[in-house]
Amino acid sequence: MNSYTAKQVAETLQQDDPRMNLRTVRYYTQIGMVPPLELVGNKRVYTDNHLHHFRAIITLSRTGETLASIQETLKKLSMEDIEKISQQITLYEPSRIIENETLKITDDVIITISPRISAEVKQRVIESVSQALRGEHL
Amino acid sequence: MLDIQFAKSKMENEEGMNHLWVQLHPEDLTQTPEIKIQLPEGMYRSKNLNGLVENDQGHIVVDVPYQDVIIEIFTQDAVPCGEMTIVVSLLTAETTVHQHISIQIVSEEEMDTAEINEHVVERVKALSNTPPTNDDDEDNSNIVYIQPKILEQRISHLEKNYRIDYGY
Repeated sequence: MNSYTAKQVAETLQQDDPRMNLRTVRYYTQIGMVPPLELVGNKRVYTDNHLHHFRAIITLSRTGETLASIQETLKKLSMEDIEKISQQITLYEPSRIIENETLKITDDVIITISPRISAEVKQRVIESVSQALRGEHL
Repeated sequence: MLDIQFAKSKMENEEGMNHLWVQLHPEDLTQTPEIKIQLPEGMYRSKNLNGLVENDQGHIVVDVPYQDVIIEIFTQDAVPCGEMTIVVSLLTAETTVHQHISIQIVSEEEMDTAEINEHVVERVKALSNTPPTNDDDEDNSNIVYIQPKILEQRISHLEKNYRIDYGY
């Protein structure tokens, strides 16, 4: 498991969200939004699990959740699930939401398509996914 | 008339963050009050996190009854450690009330002994969330909502009824 300082965590997270600066990382740690730091030697450090937590917090906060609600949600989830949420962070980037088209195929399948994808390819993607959901052979 | 509390008893002298919770006693007020916050050098604040209007003088206009006010306080570049005092003033046409609150500004290593005021932290966590805004960024683009376009199903209603494998 990698270990990080607060500064390193902030630098990494700022690539995902410029507002996650050093003071925010420290503050979220102090108010218990992420698990207690790990002790390595005589130093307390952040690990990859903390990075997953922070990214999950950013992701969920972009959906309008309160910190209290996010904290409650994350408490109930396994580390694996938290990591899955953290990996969705890019789906909720404002630029992506503004530029991309989000299409609901069914209640269970929603896809986003960048404007770089041609209309023809987009149609093929929709048809392929729809066919797969209907259990048809592609 | 005024009750003010910090989320943390101490704050880092460099890149530190805290929240100030201002509660008014509305029964004492007959007019729309304004709150003025005076910070020492090297300490900064966000716009209030409750979405209240701040006028040209930078006063927070508390035009909603029973409204509390939360403000993020922060340091950027290193400031000297020691005690710092913030002055919160309640201004109405009739009266002005000043209240002082002090905080210990310490190095990062000394933050281990900081006490957390859970009441304030709970209130901060219950706010409609944004990652704390640290500057005058008016952009609320951190909150986004996906509005998916719902595609018309390519299966007719009758076909749905007769397909036992529909959907999955």
